[in-house]
Amino acid sequence: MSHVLIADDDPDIRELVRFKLQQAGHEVTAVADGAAALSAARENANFDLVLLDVMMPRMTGLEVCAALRSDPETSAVPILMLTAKAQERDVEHGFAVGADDYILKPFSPRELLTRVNAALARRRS
Amino acid sequence: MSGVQVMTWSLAILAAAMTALLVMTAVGRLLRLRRRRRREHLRDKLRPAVVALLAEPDGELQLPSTGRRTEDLFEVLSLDYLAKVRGESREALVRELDARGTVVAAERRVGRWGGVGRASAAELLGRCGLPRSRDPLLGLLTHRSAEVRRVGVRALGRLGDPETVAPLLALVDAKRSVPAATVTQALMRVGAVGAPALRSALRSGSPVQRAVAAETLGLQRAVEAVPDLVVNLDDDNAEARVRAAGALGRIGDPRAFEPLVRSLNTDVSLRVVAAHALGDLGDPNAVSTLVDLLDGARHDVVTAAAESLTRCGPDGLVALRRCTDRGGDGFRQARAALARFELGRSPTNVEADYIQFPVT
Repeated sequence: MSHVLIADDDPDIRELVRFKLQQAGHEVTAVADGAAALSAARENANFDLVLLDVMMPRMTGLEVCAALRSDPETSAVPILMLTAKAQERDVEHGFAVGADDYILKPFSPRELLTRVNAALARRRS
Repeated sequence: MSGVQVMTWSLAILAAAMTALLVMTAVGRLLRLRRRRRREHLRDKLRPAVVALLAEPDGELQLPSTGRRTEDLFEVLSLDYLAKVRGESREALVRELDARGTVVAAERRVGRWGGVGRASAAELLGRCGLPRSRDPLLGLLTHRSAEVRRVGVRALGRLGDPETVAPLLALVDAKRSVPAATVTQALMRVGAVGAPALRSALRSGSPVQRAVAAETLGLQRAVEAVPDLVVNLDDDNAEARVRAAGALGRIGDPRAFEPLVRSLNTDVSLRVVAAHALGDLGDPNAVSTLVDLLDGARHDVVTAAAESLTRCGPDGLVALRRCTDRGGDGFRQARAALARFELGRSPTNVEADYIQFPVT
């Protein structure tokens, strides 16, 4: 079982992702903004994967990603970005600050689970 | 009654009226807040059932309660989720809405009086994207309310049906029209399946429709439309010519190079867009032509040429650096374009800096 941190300010998406990942047997911690995601990741450095929405209050997903990568405790954790199709430029920025993969919104829950599992498998290997 | 008494009574009545108004406002706010909280509470209760369906599209939806309010809120929640998910999860939700009669009810609402009801029904039909919703939605395009027409346009775009391209385009210069930007967005949503109809529209009798069709084909990067767009560079209408040149730049096909260079010898508005488009193509063969434009008298043409040179690879940059020692507007624009390129910043920011710290 892997422990996944989700950060998204939209409760509809947060709950859907939480449900899908829990259904697949993952432990999930969900938060509603970037600052909460960063403090959750710093308090518990044992997350196996972090899923970040790009546009969030207090701190954007890109800022959280950069902060996690610069901290030796969290620098190795796989990070997936959730971004709206209209913000495809954010994908480029996401990779620049160290994201491993991205998922475009609107998204398919099944595809999201596949991407998460693939990233977790890469981490294990 | 003395003047003092009249004044006292007037002030007392005024104070009472103001107090009543304050109380009514506060009560109204409280009621609205309570209603919103109740809706949010019910929404939170409904969400797990909808989430379970989206996560497991083969499963059955089991709402925690029944009744009109639950159905209404389920419709609102579904509408939100339809914009957030795709694939089989989205299809499962549409199936569920259809099975519950929500889609049929929306199709009926679209034909009724009342702009708000029509607009919300159109939104739902558009998000569901069922082909049978096309005709009810087409009926909205002649509605007297501009907002209802706009919602109808957006909803039709979401259907992704090529048959809607012609009626959508016709709206840009209809008696009850819709802004061209709204129509273009809807045509973009129709997607690549609409490209053949857009290419036909490049030969339409309406110059506005030809312009919008060209713009949309450019935004769609429709490579197959390049020969048609090249023909439209000689359109009788200036707007249609300009849109065709812009579209050719966006598509970036090398076949557009020669026609765009030829367009530089025509009217000024087309010259500016053609200079930009040559930069979009990024062809080093355009360098000498663009350098020649730097000597022109028109500031907008010179600016476009200088900007385009930064996008023509190393040859363009070398040519631009050589031009910085020339006199006139070309010199200033070449220097500004180089500065923007080297700083990797938007023109707006550089101009803002220039205003604060003028370069002599």
